[in-house]
Amino acid sequence: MVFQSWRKNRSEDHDTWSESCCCCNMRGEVHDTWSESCCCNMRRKDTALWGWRKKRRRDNDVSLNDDLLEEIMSRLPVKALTRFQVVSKQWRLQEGPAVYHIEPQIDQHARLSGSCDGLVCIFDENNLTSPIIVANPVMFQRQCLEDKKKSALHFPGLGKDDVTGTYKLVWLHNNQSNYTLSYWFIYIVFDFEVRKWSLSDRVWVTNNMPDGGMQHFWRIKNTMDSEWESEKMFSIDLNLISPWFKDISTATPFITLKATSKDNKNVLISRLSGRFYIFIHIYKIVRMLVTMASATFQVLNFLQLGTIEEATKNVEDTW
Amino acid sequence: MSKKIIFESSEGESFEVDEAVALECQTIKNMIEDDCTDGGIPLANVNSATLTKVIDYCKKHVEAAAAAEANAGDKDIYGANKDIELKTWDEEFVKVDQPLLFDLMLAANFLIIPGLLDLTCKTMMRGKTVLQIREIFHIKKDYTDAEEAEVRKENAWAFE
Repeated sequence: MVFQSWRKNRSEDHDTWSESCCCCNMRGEVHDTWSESCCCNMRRKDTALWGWRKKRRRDNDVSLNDDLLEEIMSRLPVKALTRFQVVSKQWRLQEGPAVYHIEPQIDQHARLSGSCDGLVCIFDENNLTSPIIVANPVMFQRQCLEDKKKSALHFPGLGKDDVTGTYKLVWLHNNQSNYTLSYWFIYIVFDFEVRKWSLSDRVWVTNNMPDGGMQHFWRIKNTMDSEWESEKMFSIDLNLISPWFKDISTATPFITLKATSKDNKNVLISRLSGRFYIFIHIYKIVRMLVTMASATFQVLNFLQLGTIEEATKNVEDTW
Repeated sequence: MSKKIIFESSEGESFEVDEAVALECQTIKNMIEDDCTDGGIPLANVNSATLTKVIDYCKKHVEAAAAAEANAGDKDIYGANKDIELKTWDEEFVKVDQPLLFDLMLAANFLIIPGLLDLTCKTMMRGKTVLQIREIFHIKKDYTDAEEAEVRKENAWAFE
């Protein structure tokens, strides 16, 4: 779509845009799509924009380009949006992962493991045989995942593979037969695109450093330790599914993941410390494991936090 | 004396507006920042009738913003006072026929005027049935009857 590509270029690469606008040397599609209203090429009428408009008029057909359709749809209330799926195939919403209508069999121990793009993942902490449910609360849709293995401890997490754009549910669990190996987890991944569980290798703690790919974080409460509960934080690259992990339990006990930034590069972590004061830390993920291990992280008082962006910037500045 | 910007409609008609008014359009704002506006800005895909309306809208909103600034002491902390008057004006503004409304929406999208795009999109879709939507946008039904029935059934709650 003409508008789309132009708009994309404009917002993401303003420098290129202005350069191509003013210097009149042909610089590919940025120039072409812009040139209709560009100072240096203002009399050109044979551009993509113009052609699109002419075509629309000639056919006496008011057609919506995808860009505008998106603008309209983003302003519709959910009910209207759902209703208008009947209009045409172009108006049909992309199917999310949660498309089945199954009544969940979950009791009062339901826990929310997290959310991703408005989808929430719910599981039962106590009853390990109950299904993991991924629901879209806005669209009244949910999907239950029942065909999973028995385990003694589990924690599912939902994430999005930024490379393929598919949603994946990663289910970490500790198999009962491996009870003694409390640090060893099995993890299996449910890919909503192919609707299949795939069993992966056992997870183990490594010293591998991240490669900067996208990660998904969550916390495992390890109740196997007899002395006291220790907590570990893991990261999984949803695209590679060959995760890197590092045990950071010794460096930072009582840590809780509060939020992840949209680009998955920063996390907000709270920590109980001393006489139960809660500190909020913001970590840049690439560096988090290093800094946490050596305990040289930026500490931000909860009251001084401000917006996440501000705080993140603050943290970046100090690094 | 504020700087003037000249727009040229698809019919070749010229419209002179204050720079402050033109700045309401993000697209034009970018051009002004890049100093690309000398000699007028041709808008080959916006006709005179639409452009007149667009300029009216921008003018009104610039005035409203200026008035709000001047009376900053009067309004409550939510800025509610000015909004009511401007909202009424907006509602009157979009009481136009469908083709013009559609052209306004295209222009708002092209010139990037978030407020106008929001207004026209919402007005366009308000209270419309599926059949009306197909009619307005000249969309051919590309579902078979069976497929359409299926989609309706899947989303039955939204038709209640």
